[in-house]
Amino acid sequence: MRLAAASLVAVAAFLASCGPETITLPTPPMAAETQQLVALYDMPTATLDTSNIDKVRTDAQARLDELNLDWLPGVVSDLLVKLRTRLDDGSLPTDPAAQPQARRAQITAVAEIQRICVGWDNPASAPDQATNGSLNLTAIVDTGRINAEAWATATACRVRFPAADNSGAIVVTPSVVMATLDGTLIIYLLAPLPTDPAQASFLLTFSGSISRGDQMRSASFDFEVVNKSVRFRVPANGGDAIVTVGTTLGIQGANAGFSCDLTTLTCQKSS
Amino acid sequence: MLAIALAAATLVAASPARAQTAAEPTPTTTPEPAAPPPAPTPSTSTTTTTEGGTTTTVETTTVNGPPAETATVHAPPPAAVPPPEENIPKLDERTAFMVGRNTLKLGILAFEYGILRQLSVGSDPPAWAARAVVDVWVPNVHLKYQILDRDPVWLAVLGAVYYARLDGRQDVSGHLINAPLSLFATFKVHPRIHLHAEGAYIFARLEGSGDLSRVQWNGGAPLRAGQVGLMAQFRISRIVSLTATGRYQFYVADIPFNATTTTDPYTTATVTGQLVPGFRHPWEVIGGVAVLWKQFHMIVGGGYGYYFLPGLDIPNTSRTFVPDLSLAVVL
Repeated sequence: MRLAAASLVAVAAFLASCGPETITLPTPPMAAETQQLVALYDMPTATLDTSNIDKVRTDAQARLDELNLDWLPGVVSDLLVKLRTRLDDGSLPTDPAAQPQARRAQITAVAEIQRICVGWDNPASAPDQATNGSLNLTAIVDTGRINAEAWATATACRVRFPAADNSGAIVVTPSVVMATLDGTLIIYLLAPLPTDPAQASFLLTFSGSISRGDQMRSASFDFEVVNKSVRFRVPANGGDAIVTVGTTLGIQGANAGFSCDLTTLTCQKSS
Repeated sequence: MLAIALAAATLVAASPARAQTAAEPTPTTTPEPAAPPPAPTPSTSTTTTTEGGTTTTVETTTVNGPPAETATVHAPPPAAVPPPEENIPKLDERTAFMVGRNTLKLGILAFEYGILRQLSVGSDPPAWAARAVVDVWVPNVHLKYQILDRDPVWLAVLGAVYYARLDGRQDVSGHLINAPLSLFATFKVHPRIHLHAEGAYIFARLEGSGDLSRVQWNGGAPLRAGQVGLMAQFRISRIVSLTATGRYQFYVADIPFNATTTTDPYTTATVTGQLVPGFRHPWEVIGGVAVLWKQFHMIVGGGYGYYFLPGLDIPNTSRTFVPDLSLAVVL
């Protein structure tokens, strides 16, 4: 009988020692700075007038060449779609603006997506992380709500644009971009995670290096993709103007907006 | 929980358990006090006393010497004898009472077989029956051991293991083990009133890969929880009792999970996290009637609160009517 009691005590002590395993969420990098950047895109700070708009346009065109807008937004959008797929499979939240339901079980989680880059081959070769590099995306869900900021690390990630087709035909096109991405990408969601790359809306801050062909350069920039249009920031007059890329360049300052024709290189005040 | 176990150990150490059978009341003969000094003439006297339901008549005849005594004992009518405790069927579900040695109990909430007087083994049919509504088998077994039988206090411990293989869906692979451990303490506070207390620790572990999280999140099963329960049983007749039951979950831990999936040949996704229960302290209150014939037990009742799945002790996620029905045949 005493043995039974002792066994009971031992079992109870064992169970009592089984404390909860709590998860510690990682801190998003540069969270405060990213928030400020989002606010800046909504409220530009540069003072624009006809005397300085041409310089701003020239700076914007030079900046445009550094942003790799022909392929980099696609890489990020594709990554976000993969994240959305995984979160949907787990019934996890995908909209940073959605309020969690009250009195329901809430999830706190870290989602990590490791995506082996497709590489430069056309057609794409089998997944080969050693050769083609990878992108590692981290997103956090805090008490039932996805944090708007996700971040990724690119490690020797080889990207081909246009994307390799799967038809088996080898097409050699002079305009094919073969880039290698190394660095940190901070992605701030401006809308729910997309189910289709074309639906993605986000702010991207990149810091690292990008190689195109045999040229490698360090880069640090940011841009927004909103409703299929791209916006980026250009310093001007001690502030920042926001440039919207389209058939024309829209340049928005704190006090005025201009529309610049890239053919005639002239700007007209629009607001 | 630990404190309760330590208290149990102390009680056991202080007094070894004895057989659960209550001592049968036996008729007793009460001797009369010493007779008075002898009288010079023969005389006869009769004394009648009643004690413990037994009537004793003593006739004393004295003839010039020490008195000679004859005693006649009249047994009371059978109906006047209170039923021995052992003959009153015990409520053995969620109490410290046992089903009995070599006794098989087949019920809708539990199959139970008494291996020894103080040890029984069983299984819960509802968990097996879950297969009818969800694509999961839940085989389970439990052991109940009575560690103290010292009227008016009884103590018993019940350990159970529930296993669920979660591979009914294409994107799920893994298993769930749920192991509730309960300590029951029964106190007879009055010949007709028993208090049945319970402390339970529910430990479960979910392991595997794939979208286990989805299964888990929809179920809302706590992986570590502490619950207490109390049932008051008022016996209004030999077989019929009124019961009032309450149950409260005083502790629940967040539920950790980890799932890795490969969504395409280039992409691997890992989700690591924890589920924070939306309501940490579910409760239920139930009133009912227990009818305990020797070979048939029936408990019927109803209440309100968060329904706790019988055996598994997993609470529902919303407040609702709480049914309580248990039917069992005792062989």
